[in-house]
Order: sequence, then structure tokens, then C-alpha cells
Amino acid sequence: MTEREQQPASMTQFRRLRVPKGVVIFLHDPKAKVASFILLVVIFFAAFGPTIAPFGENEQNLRASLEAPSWTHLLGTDQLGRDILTRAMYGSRVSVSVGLIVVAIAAGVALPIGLSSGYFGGWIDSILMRFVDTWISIPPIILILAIVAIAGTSLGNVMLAIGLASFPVFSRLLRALTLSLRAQDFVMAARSLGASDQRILVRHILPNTVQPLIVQGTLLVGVAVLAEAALSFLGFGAQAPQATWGNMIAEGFPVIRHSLWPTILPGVLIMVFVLAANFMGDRLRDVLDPRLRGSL
Amino acid sequence: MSKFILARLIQVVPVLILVSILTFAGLELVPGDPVLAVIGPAQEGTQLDAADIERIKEQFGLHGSLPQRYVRYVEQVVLHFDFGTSLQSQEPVTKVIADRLPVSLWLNGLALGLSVVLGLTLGLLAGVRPGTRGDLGVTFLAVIGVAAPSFWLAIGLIILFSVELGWLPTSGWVDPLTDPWEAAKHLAMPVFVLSLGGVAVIARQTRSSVLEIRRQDYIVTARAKGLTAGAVLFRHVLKNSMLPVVTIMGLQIAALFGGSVILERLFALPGLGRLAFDATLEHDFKILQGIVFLVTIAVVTANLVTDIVYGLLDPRIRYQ
Amino acid sequence: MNERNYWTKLGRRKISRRTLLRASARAGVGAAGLVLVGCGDDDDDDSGQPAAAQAQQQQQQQQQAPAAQQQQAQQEQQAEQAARQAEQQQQGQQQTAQQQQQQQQQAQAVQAAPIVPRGGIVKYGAENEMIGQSGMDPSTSLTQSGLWRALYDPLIATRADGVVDLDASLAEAFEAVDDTTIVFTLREGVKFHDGTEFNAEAAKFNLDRAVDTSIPAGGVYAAAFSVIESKDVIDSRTLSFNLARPNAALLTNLQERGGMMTSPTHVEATALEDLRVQPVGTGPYQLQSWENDQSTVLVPFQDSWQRREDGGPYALLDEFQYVVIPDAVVRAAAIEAGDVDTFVAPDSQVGLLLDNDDLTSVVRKGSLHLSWWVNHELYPANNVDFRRALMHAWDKEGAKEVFYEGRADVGTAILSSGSWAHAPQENFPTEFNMDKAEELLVQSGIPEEDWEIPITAAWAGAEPMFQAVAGSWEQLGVRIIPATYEEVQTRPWTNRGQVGDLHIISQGGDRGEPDTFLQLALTEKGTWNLGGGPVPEVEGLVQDAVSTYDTEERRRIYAEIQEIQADLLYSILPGLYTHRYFVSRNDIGGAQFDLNGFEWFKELHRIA
Repeated sequence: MTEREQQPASMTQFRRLRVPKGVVIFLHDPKAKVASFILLVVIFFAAFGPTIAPFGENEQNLRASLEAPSWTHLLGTDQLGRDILTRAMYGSRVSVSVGLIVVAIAAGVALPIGLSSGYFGGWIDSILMRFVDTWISIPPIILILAIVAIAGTSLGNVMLAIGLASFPVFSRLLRALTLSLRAQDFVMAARSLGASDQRILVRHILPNTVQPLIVQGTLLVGVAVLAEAALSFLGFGAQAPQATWGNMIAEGFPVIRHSLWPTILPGVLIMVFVLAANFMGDRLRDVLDPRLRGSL
Repeated sequence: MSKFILARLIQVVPVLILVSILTFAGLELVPGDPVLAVIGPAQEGTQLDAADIERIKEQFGLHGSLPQRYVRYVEQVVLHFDFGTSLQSQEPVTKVIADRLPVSLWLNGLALGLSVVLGLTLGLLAGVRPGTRGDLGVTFLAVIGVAAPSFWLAIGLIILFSVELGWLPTSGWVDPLTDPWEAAKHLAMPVFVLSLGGVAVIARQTRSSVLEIRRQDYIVTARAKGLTAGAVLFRHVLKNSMLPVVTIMGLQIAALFGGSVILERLFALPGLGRLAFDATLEHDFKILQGIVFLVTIAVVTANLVTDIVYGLLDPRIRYQ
Repeated sequence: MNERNYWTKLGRRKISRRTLLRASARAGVGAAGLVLVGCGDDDDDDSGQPAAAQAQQQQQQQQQAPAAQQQQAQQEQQAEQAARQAEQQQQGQQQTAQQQQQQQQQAQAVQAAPIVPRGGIVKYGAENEMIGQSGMDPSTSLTQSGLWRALYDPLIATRADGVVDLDASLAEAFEAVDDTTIVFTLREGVKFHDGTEFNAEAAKFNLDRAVDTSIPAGGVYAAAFSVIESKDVIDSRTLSFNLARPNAALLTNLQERGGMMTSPTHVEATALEDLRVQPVGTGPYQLQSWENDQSTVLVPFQDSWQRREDGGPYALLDEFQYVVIPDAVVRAAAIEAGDVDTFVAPDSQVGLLLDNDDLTSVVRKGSLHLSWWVNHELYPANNVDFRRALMHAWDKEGAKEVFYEGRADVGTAILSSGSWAHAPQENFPTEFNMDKAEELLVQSGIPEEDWEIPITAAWAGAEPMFQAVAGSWEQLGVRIIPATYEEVQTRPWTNRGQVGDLHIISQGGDRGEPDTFLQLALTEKGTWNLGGGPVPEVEGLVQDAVSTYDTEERRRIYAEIQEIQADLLYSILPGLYTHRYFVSRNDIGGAQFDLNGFEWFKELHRIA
């Protein structure tokens, strides 16, 4: 969750940049190029997969079981003779939405906690931060399993569980940001002009936390996708026959000695996607806000 | 120093209270009648009358109002260290967990140890000679360790080392205290796979600390004094790059417990991860409650120790 | 086949009934429990017999025909198997046949001096924990496994090949005074693992416990044994049953957990929750240690009442270990690597293991079926044309190739091909035919917007088949509403006095005795009748079939039930009959299946 990438010294000079130039700078790093390319491809598949996929998500052909790649099935077929490439495209929809929704849930829970903790301080801060400390001490997978046991198995509940398991990092980040922002001139000025706490939080502090949140969120996307795969492998994720990368691996696993194809593509996709998300997050951090390095 | 330790200990108290509230609330949040949740898998289908329901409530401590139940729960936990009985096997939760604990401790402990040793070594190697092929290799390995699904690696290793080469047993648990050699063979693969995530994180962290420290004035001074590269590396660089590693170790403990859920199942190790998995499958909320409680306490304790060690290593921390 | 009533026929004989019963039971009773019997002439029913009858006949041939004939029958049965495998198979059966002959012609020294292959450890790789999960207290356990017959002996035992085997039973003889009175003569000098004596009081104690619903989660056999009106201890060696009506399934039920004997002294001295994990029986092995989710270790019971030819205890191994390895792929790797010696191969790994020269296998065919467990009360599946359409849209041949590499049979009736009463039905929707399916769907009159079905796999192992079925149904235009595993657990999917709202794809078995299976599947109260809906056309017949001892009559009634069920498509609709492969490393001998298709551990030994 907290992988940090060494940042080339030459980058520190760029602090706040206009968007177009920022993109150029961002892509200056080869890893960022690769990561952006991978993410774009996955997002493209997620958006247009159903339109361009050569087969249907669950279109099976038991007479074409476990085929090696061919011109018909570019990446082979699974045990039920379903096209692996097609299912991977459908799976990317799930992974992308898991990534986004988990981040949204985590950020949504963390926002009120982090902001009020940092802004009001005192006993509110103590209580909220003890709560976050406790929560962060529960191993994520065990917390997720417990939530799934209570709420029931479904993709929605899995996303909820992963989101709830990952919000503490956001809370701490938001608190740290709010603390430093609170002391800044423009917040002081707003307060002296008689702005309410609510107005200050929403209009002045919140907008300034967006960039770091994006950085942290990008890193979380990778974690969420890995967690979804793990849960699907254990049988607690999305219900079959829905195609998700985790489900594809889980279904391919029993026949792994017969054919590697059903597990290779989703496995590689997970790896590559998680890496891309991590590279992206690292790079965004370097470019958007170098001060954040090492502060989490 | 003792003041620092005491202050740190006091901070743990509210955490404990919160854990108890969270685990208690978890069971209360189970949708539907808690009695049904409790008897669920074991006696589904039996016709219950009011008296049965009262009896079951008594048996599982579900009678009385919400605060009453909470007080009773805490009483049981604090005074008797009693987490109730498993809904599935009817055994005391503490016993069930205690049976599994050694497996998890060995597995996670060894994995943590291995990730520190491997992570530090690789991180140092990469950090000392940045940009070389070795550095690239380490970075690549770190990247794989973070992103590769562990069950994938696990089955590959089993087929290679057990089926094809016949060097290691496929699965199973042997207590290292009774037969260290057999235990080492049984644990080699699971510990290795489990440690990879940690190796990756620690190696990256060490590498950047080394890079940063090498630029610091006192290293330059030490070099200038005429110390050999090796002496500088071990006396100054290594010691100082340990600091962030210690922090990461604390965080890694929670992550390890997570990773072991899948690996304990694959390698047929009867640890806490497998217990948590089975309990989820069987909706054994009492077991889950106990696991969350105890594991959280374990992690909190580990973090406490980490902090104290940190304080010993770096005097600045104590006065923050 | 003999048409006459088993009991009356026996009653007319002048010779000692006890001797006769003992002999005839050993000679003739197949999977039917009380199928008897003297038909030595095999040639009159070779033609026109359904496969099941042939299977049955084979079984009898096995028992009575000379060894050469058996071999031939075996070869025919195994014809489609790969040559090497068939050979191994044959060897396995041959061995059984030899043992059988040894017992039949006790005095004959078939194998010269008996060399008893003693010693060594055998490790069995299991998917599930047995003791820790459902326990091994006969009164509360819901699951049977091979471990049971290693630790316990039943009142009436059946051998691995299904023959009632009084030599292995705690009753050394039984006698039918009339159709509803059975008198058991119990064996003398039998000791439980705790050293206490087995006697008629102990037997009654156990049988009472098996039906005692006041034990929490107990009374598992209350339904199966409800036919026993009273059990009377006549003296310490004699126990008498008074039946409400004739019941042909009783003896086969007695060889299951309900008829297994545990020490009353132990039961009375032990808390219920400890009984689950402390099995004390009379079997050849006793429990040495057990570690939950890890391993169960059995060691020989030195005082076992069954003895080997060398006079020693019956158990051949120094130690038997039941090792839990949850993942199928890893479990298969474990036997290849030699970490375990024997196990029942997971379906997904069978092909791989049969190709391995280090391994030998024994097969039990058609003992399980993968089926659509239909809730025939739930709209739109309450329409028989709708059900039939869906069955025709299920590509069973394809599934057979994909999941079993051809090692399975396509379902042709509710009773699977491994059952002696199996009667394949013309009208059963066996064929995969999408056009016909569409036609039937239209014919059902159910509007297209209602073509949907809530269904799931009842357990992880049935998941691939569920997906295959769901996939082809979706091609037909039927929407699948998948449920989750815990919905299977929490939604009323079995008949518990409420109408369920799910269908499932699951595996089941007829456990040797058709009645056991049909009582669960085709009666209104049966727990496998998912909707709990009435099945008026067949329920009476199910009761009729078990109320006669005449095997031919039973077979006829079961055929009728299968015919009606094929028309009305109630309850359980088999897609495939599957086989079980008991795979061992080549240095392990004695692996067999028992009557119920469970692994038979009693004869396991190491080949020097």
C-alpha cells in the first residue's frame, strides 16, 4: 500500500504545473509511459469490450474446450470453450469498476473523518485517530472476510469490504493535509472574514486535498484489484458465471495442469494492471506533489 | 526511555476498547435474528419454540439489552479470556485459535524474517550500485513480488519442486520444534511465497534509503576519514536504512496474515488464515470475532514493539 | 430370478435357519440388500435385460460363477477403459474375487500359506476434515466416509462388493421369524476400543441413540429406522426387532452409521461435544490422535474381534493417516510426489493421474450423479414442458467430454447406472437438442419475459457443471439468476417444511440402496425434494417398493417409478452419472470401494 518510488533528482524542480505541460512532464518517465498505455488499453477494453469482443461473455462451446490460441480464439479457450480474450475484456470492466468504486468508498468514508480530525483537533482528533489506528491494525483480508461473512457474498459487498478495509490510509493522509492547510494564510484569511467551519472545509480545504487523494487513490486501485482476485479465488467474489479476472483464474486453476492459457492471461493482466496503477501513482506523486514523499 | 514506553503503552488502551466494540458490533450487525445466525449452519431446520430460543440466547450470551450484552462480552474477554464457543464445532474459540496459532506464528514469523533478510540484502545491493543490471534485477523482482497473485506462484513451485524434482513435500505441517529438518522442507515454499510481498517492499525501501543516505554529509565525512567502503556501508548506511525498514515490518505483519489465507489453504497448513476462511464459509461468527480480536491485538502489540525498537534506534523519536 | 418371498422361503426350509441365513446372505445379497438369490442359471436373462439388471446379474455372477467367468464379465464392463487401466482394474477385482472365494470355501488353501502383509504407514489424502467437521458420533454425524468402517463395525455389514457379510458383522446371524420380526444373534467376545464388552444391551443402546431426536442435532436415523416399532433384548446375545411393516431397506441402512456400534460406557461418561471427536467402536483400527484440519491417525486395535490368518489383529498397517489437503490440484500433486499414498481422485485431475505409471486405480462406476435438483413448485419450473426444455438444452455429451474426458455416462433415469434398480427410460430428456428445447419452451405457454431461473451450484465442485448448464440455458434465451453459496445455505433450498426459492446443480448418490435415495428425492417430506411439493404419482410407489422383500417386485416398482418420473420430471434430473477413482501408488494394496461408494480402508496394506 505504501510502495514508494525513487524519484529522479531532476524532477524536484517542477512543483505546480499547468496541465498540458504536466502531462508532458508526467510522460517524461518511461515507466509512466508504459503505465499510461496499459491503463488506457484496459480502460478501452472496459468501455468498448462488449462492442469489439469477438464472442459473448458466457458464450460457450464444449467442443472447443481448453484450446490453445488460434485465429478464432486469439488467446485460447477455457474449460467451457469460452473465448479467454473476450472474458478478459469483460473482466476488465469489473476490475476497473472495482478499482474506482473501492477508491470512492474509501475516500467517502475517510473524508469526514480525516477532515474533521485535522481541522478541529483536540478530543475529536484523538477519538477519530484512535479509531483509525485500531482499524488499520486489523489485517485487511481478515477484515474483508468478516465483512463478507456478515453482509454476504456478492461483488458489491466485496467492493464495500475492500473500501472499508482501506479507508484508514486516506484518513491519515487527509488529516495530515488538513492540519497543514489549516495553518495556511488563505484559510486564516477566510476565517477572519467570518466564513463558517463548514464553508472553509468545503470551499478551501477540500479542493486542496484532491491531488494527493488522486495519488493515493491510484495506488489503492492496484491493491483493490489484487484483493478482488484473491477473494474470487477463495470463492467470495463475484458469482459465476460473471467474468472477472479473479474468477477466470479460480476457474482455470483446477485444470492448470491441462492448460495454462485460462490462468495466464488473467494472471498477467492482474499483474500488469496492478503494476501500472502503482507506477502511475508513484509518478503522479512525484509530479503533482513531491512534498508528500515519505510523509505517509 | 521508560517514560516513552509508558506513554506508548497507555495509547494502546483506547485501541483495545475500540477493538472490543468493533468485534462486538460485528456480530450484532449480522442481518436477521442473531439466534438464527448463531444456530445457522449447525441446526438449521430444527423447529424452535420460545423456550429453545431463550436457551440458545443464554448459551451464546445473546440475552439482555445491547449495553448489557456488550458489558458481558467484555467481562468474558477481560476476566476469563473467553470468546465463547464455535458455532460449528462447539469448541471454545480460544482453544480453536490457540491450536492454530503456532502454525501462523511460525509461518508469518519466518516469512517476516525472510523478507527482512532478503529485502535488506537486495535493497543494499541495488542501492549501492544504482543503475546496474543487478539494480534492475532487484527492481524487477520487487515489482513481481508486489503484483503477482501468490496462488499462481505457489502452484508453479509445487509442480516444479515437488512433482518434477521431488525435493520438497507438496504440503502439510510439521512442527519445527519436533522435527526441524522436515519442518524446514515443509515450510520452504509457503514461507518463500508469503515473504515475496515483504521482500519487494523492503527492498525498494532500503534501496531508496541507501541512495538518500549515501548523499548525506556524514557518509561523505566518513569516507573522507578514510573508512573503507565496507565499513561505511555497515556502520553507517545499514544502520540508518534500518529505520524505515522497522516501520515497514510493523505494517507487514498485518499484510502477512492476509496473504496466509490463500497460502495456508493451498499448502494445507492449519493456521489462522485457513480458520478464518473456513469460518467465513460456515458463517461461524464467533470464530471470526475471536480471530479479529486476537489478531488485531497481536498487530497492535507488534506495532508497539516496533515503536519501542524504533525509539531505541533513533533517539529523536522519543521526544516527539 | 427367484420370485418368492425371502423370509417365507427361508422359513419353509427344514435345515437350521441360522446356518442357511448366514450362508445365503453371504452368497447372494447384492446392492439390493436383500436381493437373493439362488438363480444359478445365468443364461436365461441375457437378452432384453436393461443395463441395470445386467449389472445386477454381474454382481451375482461375481458371487457365484467361477472366477474365469467373473473375469470375462469384468472385462466386458471395462471394455471402454484404457487397456492398462482395465488390467489394473481386473487385478483389483480379481483380488476381491479371490478373497471371496477364500471365504466361501473356507478350508481350501487357494493361496498356499497365508503371508499377511503387515506393517508400514499409509497416508490418505482427503479433501475435508472429517472428525473436526461433522464429527464421528454415529448419532449426530451427517457425513459418512471411509474412516467409519475402519473405526466402527455395523450390526449388519456388507463387504466392499456389496455382499452382506456376516463374518464382518456384529450380528453373527439373523433370523426372520416372520415378515415383521427379525431376531439377531450377536457375536460373543467382541470388545470396544475402551475394553468394554459388546452385547445386546449395547446394541439396543446404540440403535435407540440413532433415532433419539432429543440429542441436539441428533436423531439422524429417526426416519430410516422409523419402521422399527420395538427393539427387545432377549438375552445378552439376542436382540429382536418388531417392524411396523416389511422393510427391504432396513439391512442396508443398518450397515451405515445408524447401525454402527459405539461403547455405551464411553457415551455415558463423555460430554456430547467430546463424543464427536472421540470415536470408540469395535473396528480394526482405533483413533490415536487427531488434529483438526490436519490429520487423523489410526493405529491397529490389538483386541479386534476379527483376526487375520496369522492370528493377529485385523488391521494390517502400523499406522493409517488421514491427511487433509483442501486444494484438488495440490492433492493430486501430493500423490504424484509420493507425499500421500492413496486417495479418491478429484474429478478435474483423474485424467492426469490415470496416465501416471506410478499409480494404480480402482473405479466405482455410476455411483454418483450430477443433476439439476429441480424445485418443481417454483414458477416457471413448475411447468413440466419448461423443465423438459431445459433438460434438452443441457449439453451432457459435451460436459462428459470436457469435465470427465469421457469417463461418465449420460443420465437416463433418476436412479443412476450404478444402482441395481436403474432402468433407463426412453422418455427421459437425455438428448441434447436445442430445437426440441425451443419447441418445448414455446409449447409450455410460459411468456418469454418469464423465462428465468434462480439457480446455483450447491458446492464448489459442482461449479463448472453449473456454469456449463447456465451457459447453454442462456443460449436458449433463459435468464439465469445466480445465487451465492451462502444463499444455498440460508435460503430454504432443501425441503424444511417451507417452499424453497432456488434450484441447484449438485452431486448426489443412491448409496447402494434405492430406497434411501428415493425417500429423500421423491416424497413430499424428503429433504432432497427442494420445493417440498407433493409427488402424488410416485410417493405411494416408493413406499410399496420398500415394503416387499421380493427383489423382482422391487425392481419392477422401481422401474415404474423411473418411468413416471421421466414423464413428470420431479425432483432430481441427472445429467451425468459419474465414476469415482480410488487411486493408489503402486506399492499400496487393498484399495477398494464399499457398498456406499466410500473408500474401504480395512484391507489397505503395503506391498513389500
